[in-house]
Amino acid sequence: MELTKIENLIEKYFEGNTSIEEEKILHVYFAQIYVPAHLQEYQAMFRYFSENKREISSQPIQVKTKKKAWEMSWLSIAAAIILLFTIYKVIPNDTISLKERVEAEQAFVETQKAFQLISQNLNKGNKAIAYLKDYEVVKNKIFKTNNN
Amino acid sequence: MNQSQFTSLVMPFKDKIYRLAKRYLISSDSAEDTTQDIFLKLWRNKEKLKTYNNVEAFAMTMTKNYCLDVLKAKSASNLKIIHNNYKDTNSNLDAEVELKDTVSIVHQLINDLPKKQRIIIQLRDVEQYSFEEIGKILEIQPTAIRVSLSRARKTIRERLIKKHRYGIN
Repeated sequence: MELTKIENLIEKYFEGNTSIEEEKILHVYFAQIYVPAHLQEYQAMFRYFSENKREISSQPIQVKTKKKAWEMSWLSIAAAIILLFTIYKVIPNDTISLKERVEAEQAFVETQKAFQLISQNLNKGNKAIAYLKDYEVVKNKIFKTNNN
Repeated sequence: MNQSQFTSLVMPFKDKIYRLAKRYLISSDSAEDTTQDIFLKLWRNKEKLKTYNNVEAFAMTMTKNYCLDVLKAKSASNLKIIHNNYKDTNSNLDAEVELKDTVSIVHQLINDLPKKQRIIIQLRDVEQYSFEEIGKILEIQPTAIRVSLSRARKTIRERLIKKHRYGIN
């Protein structure tokens, strides 16, 4: 009696016509260890379904991931700034350093002084040239030139 | 909605989402990742959740769409999902040994079904959703579900009987 009922349900089941309640009856029936040989394929199917329903996700739900991602981004920004600063500090840049700049300015001033000294001496020579002009005037008084 | 309210709302169907994702993606790891992502998405939209009358069906639909996207991306990059998660949790009763083998064959047979049939089997025979709920989750007509379901069940039966007659190969 029980068996014919189960067989009818199986028939309906494969046509997709069983209700959820009827399918539950089948699940319970096939949960027992021994079933008639001609129903063993169905037992494997229903066992699989019941077993699969017991499979659970092992990871807990984490909904705080978003915040974590923000923290991560701030960390990476900070790391980038530190890295840039370190590169700026550690690697010597191509332009001259402050010490070299001061030395160069001093050298420039010294050179300017030296040039000024030279130009003063040159001006002394200029005065001597002024006397030459007087000499020219006197010479013209003594010797009459052609155009006079 | 705070975190504990959210958790109590979504916890009842967490494993269903995991199992559905696993049925789509086959791999346990991908299914775990998907479950996390789905809950993260739900959490971000937690204020909107109250307005849905069936959060579970909504979450299952999200999972379906998510998995289809993953599969599309995988096939585009020509990657095969690798899975190595067959495990038996049965007790070692002698009478059960053969059954255990057949049960793991069922697992393989279901995974060999066309995707749509595979998912309908999962939602109906494992999760025991009604045709209306499955229609809502998969966004298809409930009438089409019965046909696919019947076809899928018969295919599993045929192949199972074949394996029994000719041995396992």
